Amino acid sequence: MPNDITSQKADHLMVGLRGRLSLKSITMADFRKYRPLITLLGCMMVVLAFISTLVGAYNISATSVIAILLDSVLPFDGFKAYFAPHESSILLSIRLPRVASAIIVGGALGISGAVLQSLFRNPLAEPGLIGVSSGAALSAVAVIVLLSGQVILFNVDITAYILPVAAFLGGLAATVTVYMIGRTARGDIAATMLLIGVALNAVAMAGIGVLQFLSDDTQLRLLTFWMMGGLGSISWQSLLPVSVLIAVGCAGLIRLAVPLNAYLLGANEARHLGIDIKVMTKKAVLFSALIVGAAVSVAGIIGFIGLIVPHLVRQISGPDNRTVIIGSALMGAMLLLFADLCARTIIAPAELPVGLVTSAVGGPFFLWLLMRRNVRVRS
Amino acid sequence: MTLRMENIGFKVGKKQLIKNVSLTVNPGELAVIIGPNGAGKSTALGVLSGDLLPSSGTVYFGKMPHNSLTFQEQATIRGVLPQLSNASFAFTALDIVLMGRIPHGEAPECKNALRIAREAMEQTDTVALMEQDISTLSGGERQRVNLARVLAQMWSDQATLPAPKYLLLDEPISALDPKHQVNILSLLKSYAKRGYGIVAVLHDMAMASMFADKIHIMQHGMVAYSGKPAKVMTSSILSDIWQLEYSVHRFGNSIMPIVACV
Repeated sequence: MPNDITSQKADHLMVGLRGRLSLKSITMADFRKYRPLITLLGCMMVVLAFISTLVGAYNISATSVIAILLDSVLPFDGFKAYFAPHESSILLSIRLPRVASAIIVGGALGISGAVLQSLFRNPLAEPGLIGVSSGAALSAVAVIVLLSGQVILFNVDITAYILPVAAFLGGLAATVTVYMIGRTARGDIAATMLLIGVALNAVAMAGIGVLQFLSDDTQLRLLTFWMMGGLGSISWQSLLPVSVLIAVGCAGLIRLAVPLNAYLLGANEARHLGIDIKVMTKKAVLFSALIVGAAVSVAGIIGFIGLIVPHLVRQISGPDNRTVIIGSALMGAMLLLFADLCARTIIAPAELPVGLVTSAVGGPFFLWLLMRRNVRVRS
Repeated sequence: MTLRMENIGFKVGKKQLIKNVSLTVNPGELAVIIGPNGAGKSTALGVLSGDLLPSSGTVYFGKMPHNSLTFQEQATIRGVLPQLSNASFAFTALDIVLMGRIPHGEAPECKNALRIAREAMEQTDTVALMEQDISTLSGGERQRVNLARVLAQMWSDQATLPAPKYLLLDEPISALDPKHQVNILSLLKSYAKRGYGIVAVLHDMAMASMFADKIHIMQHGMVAYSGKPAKVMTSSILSDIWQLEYSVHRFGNSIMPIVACV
């Protein structure tokens, strides 16, 4: 019987259309048109990243940075004359992991903002909104307060590892909850998910409040880090697994660009254009959770990037997600590089939590954008 | 091959919106569904388009249940114009029409897609709106842009279709001025002549009588009458369905129902 259906289907399509094999989908090759803009943003990001490696509590000259980089890559001692040994250790073990994490975390937040705004058809959506960020923060805070002190497993102190893992699992749990409850809802899946996110945020914030109440002074300081975000404590070791997860998630999200464009017309319209919206929604939510959970696990909650960055990119390129998604990754990276640069130079040698900088700069900037362009907000 | 729904029932909670509805869309035919508000017209169209999952009955393409085809395959056979389409974000009218080419794997820069989009926009008189932000357009303009999108999706360069394609249109002329109403319905009629199977929900009975090959009158969630305009657009049937005094006049070949106000 199934064979019968298949052969009927084949017959129909051979007679009726141009044959099943010729049903193509839009592929990565069709991203070509936007190469100039993406290249420009990419170059700007590299320049900003380079500047970020120079500036900080201790400034390193451009020559030294280039010499250190060449020295660490090439098996040749001639570059050692151009830098001091302590400059090398500052750059390689403090400055570079920090710049790399700003790029990875900023990119992840930007890309997830772009995808969630399309998925919810709402220019105000961002990762914080569906509860992913606060879910991640809640479980991180729970680890800090409830497992106070050290976690020893087989004589190894694994406290440093437990924190990011817990944050990631918390973010994932929030996303799965949004998705599972959202799936049973009738009607507009995206709107329901948004409301579930509101409820999850309330629960997570209540939980964090209770934990704050229970915590002592040292824990409160650590806790503040999670709530305000910061890139100061990231090392190469903690960045590696996170960047793998984020790379996987971004690769998955970029492929959703064209379906998400159609989805902006409406869920039914997207289905009539041949898109399996259940599969698309599932992928968009899970990949977003993956990258946001991973980002929060190393950097805490950094607000406003996911909200503002897609708006900025749309102002330049228009709303086509093929540019907006990749552009938001690059623009998000740039914005976080810049914010982190401010965070560690404004009151150097002390530093501000970077989440404060993004919110303090991002909030007014967003207001200005709203006034200038009269951005339409529709649900 | 026809597109048809058989013995369809659709419930929301305990409320039966349509019951036992069977409709067949024949290729080469412009069928029009009319009926009072709440008669189940949009529900019937929703089931036919796959938006609503019927509580009983099945929708078929030929002999195959329509959901045995992938969404992409369905999208190359059936195009749907919803009652209201609100695009969020600042897409241009051309962007919207180009989305009709997504099921054919054609990116917006693709030459063929651009040619088809342009021709579809010429047909719906929207070429002048091409570069405008869709959300700044009036209701009628938006309706014509979205119709162009559906036409681009179902496009064929052949004069007669090698195999049928279907257009399901929910109130496609509700926001249009009289001239555009006539032009769009004439356009749809010419599509039907080329082999397209078209169903449209309309409220304007004069337009329905003038252009339809077949009219389905729905009432209380069922198809009450089906047939050629001359057969079903009679003063007794219309007066019975709408509870208004209708008189039906003839102008040449066309029938013109007129409501007699007290």
